Amino acid sequence: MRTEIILAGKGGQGILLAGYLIGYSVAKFTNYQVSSTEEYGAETRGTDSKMDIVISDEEIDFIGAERADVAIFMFKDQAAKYSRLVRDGATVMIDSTLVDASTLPASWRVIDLPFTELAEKGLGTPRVANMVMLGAFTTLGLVPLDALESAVREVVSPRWVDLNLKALRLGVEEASRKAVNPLTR
Amino acid sequence: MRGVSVGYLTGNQAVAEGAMAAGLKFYAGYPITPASDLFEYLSEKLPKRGGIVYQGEDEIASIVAAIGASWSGAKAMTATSGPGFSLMAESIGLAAMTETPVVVAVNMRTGPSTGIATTPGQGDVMQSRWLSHGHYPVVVYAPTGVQDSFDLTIKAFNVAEALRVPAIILSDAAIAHGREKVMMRSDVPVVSRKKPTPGSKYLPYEAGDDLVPPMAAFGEGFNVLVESLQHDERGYYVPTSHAFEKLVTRLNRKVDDNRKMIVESRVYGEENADVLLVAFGSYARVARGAARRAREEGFRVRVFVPISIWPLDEEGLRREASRAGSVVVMENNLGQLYREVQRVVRDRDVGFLPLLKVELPTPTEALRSLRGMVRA
Repeated sequence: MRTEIILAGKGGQGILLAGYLIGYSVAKFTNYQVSSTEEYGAETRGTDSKMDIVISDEEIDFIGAERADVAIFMFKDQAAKYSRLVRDGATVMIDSTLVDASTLPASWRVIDLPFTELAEKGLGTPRVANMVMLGAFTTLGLVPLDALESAVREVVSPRWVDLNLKALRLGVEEASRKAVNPLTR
Repeated sequence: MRGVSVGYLTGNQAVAEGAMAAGLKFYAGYPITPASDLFEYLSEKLPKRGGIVYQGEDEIASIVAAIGASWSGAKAMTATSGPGFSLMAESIGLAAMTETPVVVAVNMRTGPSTGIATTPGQGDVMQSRWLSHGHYPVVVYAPTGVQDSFDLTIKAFNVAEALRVPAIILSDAAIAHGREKVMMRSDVPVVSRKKPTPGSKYLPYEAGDDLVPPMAAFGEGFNVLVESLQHDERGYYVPTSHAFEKLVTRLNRKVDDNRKMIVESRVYGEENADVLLVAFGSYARVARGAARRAREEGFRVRVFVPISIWPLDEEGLRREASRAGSVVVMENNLGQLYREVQRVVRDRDVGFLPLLKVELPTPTEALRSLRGMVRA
């Protein structure tokens, strides 16, 4: 089965690293196929940063996402801009520190967690909000946590590995605590 | 799996890995988007494997350095995109005329001219075949993704070495910068150029029945003449009709007579389809997505993907075209592969679907356009 994922936010939020880690985990540590494409501005901060990731148990035809089954929005502007590429009934994770859940289409199954706030309060820096998000993402069952942890160890600069692993686990805990129920919105 | 390493690489990285697996020893290049990161990747990796990476002062110097390296016995390559490829025009002919194995990776971007540096294009199909002047041989492969980028680079090197021709990997920005899982076998078949027997009488352009002369490198004790003027078996300038006909015929027959070794194509989807959709490179992925979407609507689309663009798998194309309700070529230009398909499929009309885009069209978009032109 083919799963299309859109991951978007603004430049500087670590969107491309997070997307790379998802793809790397799937490629290296699972039997699934994975394709991804990136879009980003020439600026290092502030402009759109978007990654399409396709995961499948068979050969992947089209490499992009046009009706995403899963979307992750880390900033409000990109949530508004790319919502047309997300299908009805999709599972959508948002950073509720920066995206207002009430502005999103009602047909989505939304998981809202304040990734930035959690990172800031729990780990002392908003910079690992992307890793807190990835931890929460593993609870969707698309990528195993141990695969992502291995990917972090192989990809991330050694001095940041521990902090990133802590952030991953914080995301897992927070997402597990949160009931995933569209009626709670 | 033993002997297989798994990567999550960009198309550019996979071309670089494929080249090293095929025995690349010399890379020369000049930075240009979207080929610069291939250069950067090799700059880090190739020297560690005993190879040389050289930045020329421009694309002309780069390809000529690669040709020179090849004559020194090294498997050689360069990579570029539209404007840089245009600068290589004369030297592609030089490689063909001097029968120099060399691989050129071309990542198509939006043209003409400097166009848009960062977005994918498909406007260089004809250029990849007829870039240089004169009637010369060249082999062109079009990867449809990252796995192809690895596999076809190896094939391009093998064909270049076996036939002593320039081989081109015609990719685009979407594939070059997209990332995919890729399986890289360590035991890939590697072909190297045939060498003259030590101590034998050697004429540098004398070919046997296989039409490919053995190639001595500089310093191996043979008389080596690299001659771009019209020449005979010795490599001496001979300005006669006889020598011209003999040489140009042999140069081009090397490719024509070895089509079986070169050509490759793939088909996807059910037989007896309403439409045979012909698409190459990144648009092949769009076409396959469109076929998936079409199936949901009960519309049957079979996709024909030429992997070798020059030469095409003409037999396969004719066979597939005869079985479908209609034939449509979809590409990101105003009719280049289309012309070649029309030339091959002569007994019926071939439809044309130009989708001029600076990003990949979605399968839904492509399907909508296709349904607009085909009744089923």
